[in-house]
Amino acid sequence: MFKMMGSAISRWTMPHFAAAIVFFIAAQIAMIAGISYPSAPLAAPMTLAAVHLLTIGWLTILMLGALHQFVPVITAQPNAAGRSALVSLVAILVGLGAMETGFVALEGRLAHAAVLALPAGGLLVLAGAIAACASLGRTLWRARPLPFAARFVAIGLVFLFATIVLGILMSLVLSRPDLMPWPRVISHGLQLHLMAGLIGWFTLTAIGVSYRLLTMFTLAPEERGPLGTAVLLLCAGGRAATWLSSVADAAGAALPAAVIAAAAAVTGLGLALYLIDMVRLYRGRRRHKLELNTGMALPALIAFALCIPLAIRIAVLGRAGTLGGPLAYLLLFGGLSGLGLSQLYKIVPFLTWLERYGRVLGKQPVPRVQDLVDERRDRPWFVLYFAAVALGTVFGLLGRPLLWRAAILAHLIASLMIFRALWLVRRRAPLIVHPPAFAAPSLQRSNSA
Amino acid sequence: MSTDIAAAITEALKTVIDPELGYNIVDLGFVYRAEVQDGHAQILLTTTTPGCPATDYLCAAVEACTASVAGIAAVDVTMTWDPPWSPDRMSAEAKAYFGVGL
Repeated sequence: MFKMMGSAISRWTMPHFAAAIVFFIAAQIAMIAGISYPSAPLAAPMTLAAVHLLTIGWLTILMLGALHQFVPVITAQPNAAGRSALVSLVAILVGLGAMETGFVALEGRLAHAAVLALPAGGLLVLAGAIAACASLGRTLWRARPLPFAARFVAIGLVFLFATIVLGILMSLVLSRPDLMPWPRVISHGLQLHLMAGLIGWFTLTAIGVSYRLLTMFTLAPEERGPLGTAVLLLCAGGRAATWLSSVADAAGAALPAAVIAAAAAVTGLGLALYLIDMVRLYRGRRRHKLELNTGMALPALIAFALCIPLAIRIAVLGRAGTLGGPLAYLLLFGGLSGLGLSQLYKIVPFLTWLERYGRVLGKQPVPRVQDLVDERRDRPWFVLYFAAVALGTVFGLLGRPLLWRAAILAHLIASLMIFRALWLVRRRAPLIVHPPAFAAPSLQRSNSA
Repeated sequence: MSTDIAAAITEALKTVIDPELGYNIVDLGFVYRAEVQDGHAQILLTTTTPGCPATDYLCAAVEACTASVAGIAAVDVTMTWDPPWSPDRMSAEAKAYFGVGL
């Protein structure tokens, strides 16, 4: 007999992933079709529609789906998600649908009254986030004192709420300027919304999840020592200080610009130290040969690294108008989506394996997780994805929107092929089933087959 | 514990793999202790990390495989992460396969 010890499979994680993938494809199609940035201005309603397909539809749903599975792993606690994960997903999907309607109305393509769908949708997304965090927060609370990686996730979730609340406030001002004539909310709020979402929610959460997953998959030391602590303190402290000082500035506190710049620089230093620690993690790994998911996390980390000089350039030269778009693109598609795609390539087969083979383990021959995918077949699509994002960033910096859209088409094709590989994992039984007496020589034979 | 039963349990547990690493749990060093007294087997097991979603499946597999060995009447499987597992616990073959120490 044994007592149940592991975290259970989160049954709503895979539906989250499926929904997120649909939105990722939709966002790329919108950008290629020329109805949003880079063809339309950054603040145009249709750009906002495409951006929210990407940020809420793809990245937020992807991350929440992953967190429902991995917060229990990170904290070694039982899974508390249950039905709240489904409630969260449905609320976010309906809310995003309403927000998209609101953006289209804002563009003038629907009756103006439909603009109210924007704050209504935002409230539903907020309700979805609350439902998700009710279970995630409970799991995190039970795990106090929080393990290292979970601390990033907890702080990221706080910024998720800050992002959504600011978004709702701006949408109210946009939809009813007659009742709320507060242009300052839009002029200052947009930057705060972006900072909270891109760096606070997405990047801090991605850092936490990457610390856990990459140490696990590369057999690198989990203990990150003083450098890891510095990353946590500088990233989280710097981000909170930047955000709060910007809020104070927006509220009319008239803080010296140097205060906000210094806080932003602290965050940048934290991110730089994170990347240095990632180099240390890869160098210190015990699993010498990288699998595709850990190998393809590297170009995503390089994309994060390239964001730092771009952000410094914007801060020093103040050229947010020309550099802001390429920077956001590189961060969203190269760093965050790149990390998401590469880790989906491991998480989907792993969860599929648990569903299909977990119960027969030890009773009959079972495949390895690696046998559910074909790395040789899929590697070129990952290479194409990151090469296209690199080219897209260059075309963005050079101000060539048509070529940029061509690059987006290339990474749409690459991502479709990666999603096809994940679809095959879900649909097909593996071709190779290893003999039960598992030893190195048989593995090597099957790998070379 | 007789050497025969010990060898039989080890062989039986070699049919259980860690799905992510793709290698049998004996050579990975997941089995900290396997003792048999009067047909009652007690297995002390670990995984690469606490909270791993495969843990319960590994426990069930270890229990089933041990129970299938002739002369075993009852099995207790206990999980522990103290001391934590490290790649140093792998067999020489497993280390060579994963490139540990390169």
